Amino acid sequence: MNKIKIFNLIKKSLKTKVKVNEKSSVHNIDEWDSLGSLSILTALDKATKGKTSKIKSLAEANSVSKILDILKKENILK
Amino acid sequence: MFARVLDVAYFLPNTQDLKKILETNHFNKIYEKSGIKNIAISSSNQSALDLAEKAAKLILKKKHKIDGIIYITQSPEYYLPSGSCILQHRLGLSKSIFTFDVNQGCSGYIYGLCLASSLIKNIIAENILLICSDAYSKYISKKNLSCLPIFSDAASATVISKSKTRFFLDFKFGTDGSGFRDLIVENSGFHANSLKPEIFMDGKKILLFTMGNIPDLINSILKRNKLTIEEIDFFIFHQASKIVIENLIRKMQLNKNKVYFNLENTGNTVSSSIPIAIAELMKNKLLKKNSKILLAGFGVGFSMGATIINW
Repeated sequence: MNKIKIFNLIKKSLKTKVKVNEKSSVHNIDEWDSLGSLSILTALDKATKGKTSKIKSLAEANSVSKILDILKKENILK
Repeated sequence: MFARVLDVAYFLPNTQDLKKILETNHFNKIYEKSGIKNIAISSSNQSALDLAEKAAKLILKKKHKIDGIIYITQSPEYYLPSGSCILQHRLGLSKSIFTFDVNQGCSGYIYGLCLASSLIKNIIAENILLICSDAYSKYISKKNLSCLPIFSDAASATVISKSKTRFFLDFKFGTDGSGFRDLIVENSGFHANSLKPEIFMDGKKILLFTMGNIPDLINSILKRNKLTIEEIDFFIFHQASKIVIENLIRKMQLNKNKVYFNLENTGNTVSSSIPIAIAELMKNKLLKKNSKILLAGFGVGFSMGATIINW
């Protein structure tokens, strides 16, 4: 799992045309609301074969940078 | 002595079309995740206890002789006395019966089945009336768009009776109370204040709890009973929302034809969602003798429970 895959995963989950990068968050992507977050959590769980569903802090991650930090700490992000 | 489910009935108050309550784009976005089109809302002078009475009277038309009431609710009529005492009176049941309430939500039916079967196995009772009822709508304001399109008011009544053959193979439970704030009625009980009680729900945390714990719960109860997923004929999960059930199907690689799914016109009926499913399957004669059914309830608390039934 690398950053580019995460960006693409989030973009696809949110079904957004906006470019997703490290600065993306709930504040600059309209589609990233509470329902969009559910899509992201589902997609992450699928992509990590279930590892992310055990990480409670992901529920509070409202930006790409926070998601990346959490995944790094959990040794999921290379 | 064993116990079995003998009969199930349920009552839903007036259903409302969510398309008439929500703005169209908003409805479409929510429906994609929830799978819910209609919700049932009790009238302003109708309590969860009133719904419970209606469900119970439906099942008592068949003149079951009841030795006890277990009432599962998180919508109490009063702080005291217990709703089950009031139900004994309203239903005109014998004064020799036992009655008690259990404060559980989405896992409540599994807890109720376990308690009922334990009491019957210990020859405390022969027929138990297990009633589930909630009216979460009383704690959901019109502005609460995360809860309004999800929860329905409903009640169910199940008669659990003694049986010569083993029906409930096993029960397993789990609790993670660290999630207590993630589905809660704020401003209630000891914390009541001038503000109206209102449900707060963190859908993301609930989804993570479900994805992170329910597959393990199910695998654990299957392993303990030396069963595989393939040997289960039917899975009846708490009908929380479409995204929850779809994720469980995906994570556990279940055959979706074996997974009950019927949220569209009932919504999330809390502890009644599993008995409503059972009632519908019984009505449509889809539960065959000796089929293995796995029930799993999970949610508020966080609390979870599962049972395997040999129907």
